[in-house]
Parts: sequence; structure tokens; C-alpha cells
Amino acid sequence: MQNIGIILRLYGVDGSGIQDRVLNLMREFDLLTLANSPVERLSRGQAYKTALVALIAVDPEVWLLDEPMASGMDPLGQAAFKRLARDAATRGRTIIYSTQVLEVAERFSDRVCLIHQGEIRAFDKLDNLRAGAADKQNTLEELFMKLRAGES
Amino acid sequence: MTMRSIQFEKAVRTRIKTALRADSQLRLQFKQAPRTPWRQMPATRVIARLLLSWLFAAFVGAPYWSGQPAATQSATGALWFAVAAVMFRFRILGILYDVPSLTALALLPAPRDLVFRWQRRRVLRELWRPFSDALAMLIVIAGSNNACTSAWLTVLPMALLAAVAVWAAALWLTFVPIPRQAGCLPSVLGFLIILSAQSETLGAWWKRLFIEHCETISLVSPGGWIARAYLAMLSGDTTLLVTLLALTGLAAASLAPALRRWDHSYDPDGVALWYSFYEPPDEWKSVVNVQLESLPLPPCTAEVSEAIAPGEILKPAWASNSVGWVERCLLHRLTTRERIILEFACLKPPDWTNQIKWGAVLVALGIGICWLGRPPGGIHIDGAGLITGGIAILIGCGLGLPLTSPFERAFHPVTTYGISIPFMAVFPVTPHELMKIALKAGVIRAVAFTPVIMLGGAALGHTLGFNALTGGMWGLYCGVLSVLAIPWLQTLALSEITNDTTRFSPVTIATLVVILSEVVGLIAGAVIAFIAPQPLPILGLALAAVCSFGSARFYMGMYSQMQFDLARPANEYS
Repeated sequence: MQNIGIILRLYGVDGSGIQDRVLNLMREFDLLTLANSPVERLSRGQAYKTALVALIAVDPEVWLLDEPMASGMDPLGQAAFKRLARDAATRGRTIIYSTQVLEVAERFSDRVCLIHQGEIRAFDKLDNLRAGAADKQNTLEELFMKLRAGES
Repeated sequence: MTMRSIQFEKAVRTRIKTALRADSQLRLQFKQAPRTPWRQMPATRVIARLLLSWLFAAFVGAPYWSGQPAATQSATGALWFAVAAVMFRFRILGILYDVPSLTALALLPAPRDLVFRWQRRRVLRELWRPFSDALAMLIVIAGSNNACTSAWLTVLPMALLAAVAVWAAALWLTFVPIPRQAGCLPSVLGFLIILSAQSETLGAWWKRLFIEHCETISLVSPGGWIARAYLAMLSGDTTLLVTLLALTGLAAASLAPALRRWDHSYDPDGVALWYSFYEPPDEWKSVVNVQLESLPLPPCTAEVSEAIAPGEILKPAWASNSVGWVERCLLHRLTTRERIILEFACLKPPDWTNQIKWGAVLVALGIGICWLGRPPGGIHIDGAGLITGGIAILIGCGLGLPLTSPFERAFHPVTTYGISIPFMAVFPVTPHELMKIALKAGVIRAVAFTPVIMLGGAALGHTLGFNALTGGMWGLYCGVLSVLAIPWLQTLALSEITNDTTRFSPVTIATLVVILSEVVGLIAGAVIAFIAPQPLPILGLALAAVCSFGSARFYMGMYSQMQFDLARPANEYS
């Protein structure tokens, strides 16, 4: 909790409701019982959830996340993250995240940017990408395989 | 069943090479893949270890070259190998029970005793270390005593015998419970004894102990027996030679029963015995010994929420009364924003007050050693007592003065997709802000510790026969220079986490030239401050200040102009 507090102060977040908001977020991510645990004792998933609580409490315009679905978070944490991220997107926040799991990107993204070997190979709304795909359920996988096949 | 197949690995490597040769795209990707930095290469470590062997050999040679009895050489060797056996003991246990590969091996469908035997082979492969030490020692003894050709020919087999004997001693030591912390003690003490044995540090008492009893001291470890045996061979004392060789041979032969005892002690079915030779760290013990019934139940979420007082989350992380006086002094001089950044960058409150305390103790100890080992004289190396004391003083100054960056957490690299960025890069904290806080912290630490080194310098000046005032002034210059070096040190710390030198460009060259010329300026300023007559030292300090602050300003300017950023290839981090 101390760490979350430092990050909130670093971003200049204050106000009377912030503590309740943080406590609610910690409850949602099942972190309340770890409120006083030193951060170095937390598991990888718990540390990631702690960072997410700080991020969501700060509520920045743009969220930039590295592999949130492969961060060691438990299913409860992943579900809470998806719901809160969707809420934030509805409020007008921009959420950019990277993932290697194409199924996740397919179900949880409005726009997709496909990067292969350091180059952007496709960047469009998912509906537009689906329009040209044979398999509507696995559009990104199909697109990725086409790219690989085109190389070899 | 075998744990490793060289043929299989060779075949795989050959096929990889063939595939790479056939495909230029793959070859390019292979070249771009991260490589092990030279510092971490096994060859680098081997070379460093070989150099250590020859450093030890120089100590063995020193008594003879300074005209002392030849037996002092074997006494020095005996002390070295006594320390080495303790160090090897920890190395053996580390290889057996504390290597990352053990976890992976435990998951394989391999019998536990097979894994154990494989680990044991790795232990025996480390025999080259005592062999290297023994070989260096015997070469120096042979060279300094004008050994004949036949005596030179025995160097190799005798070194091998000594290595096996020392290794066996280390193996037997693994059955003796020695706490990790206690294990460090003989290593440090042994080093200091070997170093101080070269001088008249402890005066007549030490001389009596070491010179007059060097033949007895030779017997404290198998390494000393073989050195003494070699000297006996050179002097034609066959009885002593045979006796000591038999003794060393016996010690070497005890390797087999030691290995057998390992096998008997090891129970492949008992997971608990996996660590039977290994003393778990204290924190493990506390975990193991805790009574499960006495564990408190985890609090429910409602209890936790109620326990957190309103507004607590936004309170400063460190209470002023929970930190030392140096840290408290700094906290009072920081703005609110700077205090938040310090808490963010350090994670835990710094321990500067304690460091200054221990630094002062070490400086006092070093001065004491220097006083005892003051000139004239020295049994083997003139002034070795000053070197020993000097090392203690240097370590003390390193602890007390602000010579390292306090922002370990902020600069901690986070690696993603082959790029490392420091932790601070994803938070609203700028290097400028960190630099300012580092300067404030550095000034306070230096002000707190400089009186200690001024007093120490004055005492040293008085002891060694030069002016006490000069010694005190040198202490003052050390304190001032440590502050002046902060911008430069901070620039170096920043350079480590930016991509400033990862591309070959005019910017890279300019950065390197400026930083290196600032180093030269800083050193030149320091030299002028220490050796030039008044008032030139002031000019020297001014030069150092201009260089250090100049380099920092240049670097920050480049950073502000976005000439480089806080990301660099991950493989460049050590």
C-alpha cells in the first residue's frame, strides 16, 4: 500500500475519495490482505496487480501495458483488469497493450497492430481485418500465418 | 542413463550451423541475438582466478626476496590454503545445493542419486582451482630457491597432490556446520593475516610468532605440508620429505572416504536430506521452525480496511523518527516533491547513518593498523602494514562518503522485448530531479563524514611523521572531492541506463570524449589538490568542480535535446 501511495503522490493525485478508491481496487484485485506486505515478498502476479491498482487509481489518459495477460495474474485479477480497462475505454481512456496471445487480442481489442520482426504489418479495426479473413474466429492467427508463409 | 550427451550436443550444433549457413535471414537474426557480456564469460572468470593464484604466489615469493628464512614461504602457503579450504567448502556446497540447474534437474524423470552424482562430478571439476594455487606456489618456491632440473620436474605431480589434499580437506569441512557469516570471517581474517604477515605490523610479537614459528605454522594445512616437503627436498632432508609427502598423500587419499560419506549421507528418497549438508540461511530456519498452530489467521478484508486510518495512503512513506540523523537531516532539506521522489527511487530508507558509523570505525581501525605497522622496516615487504591499514581506511571512506548512487530502485533495469529500460522511465521522474536530490544527499553525507576523515588524516599525519595539519587538510580535500564527484558519478550512472553509446554516431563520440576528458580533469584536479603547495589546491578543487559539473551539464543538455533516451539493448546490462 505504501508503494501505491508513493506512486499516487508522484503523480500528484490527492482528494478525499482516493483512499476509498484504492481500497476498493485492492479488494477487487484480492490484494487487501497483502496491504502491509513488503513489495519484494509479493509474487510476480501480485506485484503486477499492485502496479495495476496504482495505474487505475492514477487514471491517466493513456495506459501502456506490457503483456498484461502473461503477467502471472490469477483469473480473478485478469477478469478485474479486463472489466476496469473496458470501463476506462468507455470513459475515453486509450489503452495500448502488447500480447503474444492472439486469441486475447482478438476478443479484447478494438484496434489491432500486428508487429512482426520489428515492423508494423497490419494496423486496423478488428472488424475490418475480419472482413478479409476466411476464419472469422481466428483472424489474427490466420493473418500471422500468411505473413510467415509470405516470408519463406 | 546419462545426464549429458556430448555427441548429441555436437550433432545439434552442427545442424544449427548448417541451417545458418544456408539461410542469410537466419544468420542475421543469429548475429542480432543477445550474447553473454565478456565480464560474465567463463573464460574471464578463469583468467581472473589464475591471476589470483599468481597474486598469492607473489606473497609466497616475497619472504625469500626480502631475505627471510625459506620456511616462511611454506608458512604463508599454509595460511593461504587454510583460508582456501574454508572458501572451497562454501563453493562445494554452492555447486551441490544452490545452483539454478538443480531446480530444473529435480523436475526431470532422473533418479535423484544420478542427479547427485552429476552434481558431484561438477564439484570435482573445480579441482583446478587449488591445483592452480599449488602450482603457482611451487613454481615460485622452486624459482626463488634455485631448484635443479629434477626438482622442477616434481613441481607438477606435487601440485596435483596438494590440490587433491586441499580439496579433500574442503570436502571434510562440508560435514562441519559453519554458518555462512562465520565462513566469511576466516576468509577476511586470513587475507589480513597473510597481508600483515609481510610487515612488522605487530612488532616483535608478530615477528616471534611468524618467523620463529613458521615451521609450525607450515603444518596448519595440506598446502603448507607440500610446500615444506618441497623445501625439504631442495635442502636434501629426505626424512622430512618422506614424512610430509606421506602426510599429504594420506590427506589426498581421504578424498575417497569423504566422497563415500557423501553417498551414505545422501538419501534419494528423503527430500529433507537433500539439504543435509547445507545450513539454511537464518530466514529459512525461522520459516521451518515456526509452529503452524501459532500462525495468526489471515485477516479478512473488512478488518484490513478498517485498520487503515483515513488519509494514511497519502502520508509520507518514511516517518522522520524511524530514520537515522543523517537521513532526517536530508528529509528536512528536501521539498515535498523531492521527498516523494527519494521515497520512490530508494524504496527503503537509506542506511547512511549506520554506514557513516561503521565507516568511522573502519577508519579508526585502519589508522591503528598503520600506527602499529609504521616505518621503518617490515619483515617481508616494507610498508605492508600501511597497505593493510590503508585498505581498512579506504573501505571505511567508501562506506562513509557519498561515492555510490543512492537510487538503486530507480535505475533498476526492466527488460522487455530485448530492450532494458530503468524503472524510473515509466514514471514522471526526470534525471534532473534525481541529480538534484543526489547532490543534496551527497553534501549532507560528506559534511557528516568529513570531520571523521579530517581527524583520521591528522592522526595519520602525526603517526607517520608528516604534518598533522597536512593530514587533516587531505581529509578535508577527500570530503570536498567526494561532493564534487557526485555530478560525474550520477552522469555515469545515467549513462549506464541510456542508449547514449549504443550507436556509432557523432553524438556518441562527443559524449565519450566529454565524459573521458572530465575524468581526466577530475583526476588532475584531485592530484593538484593533494600535492601542490598552497594556494594551488584551491585551484585544483575548482578544476575538479568545473569538470564534474561541466560533464553533468553537457550530458543533461544532450538528454534534454533527446539525443539519447532511457532504453538500451538488454544484453548490454551486466
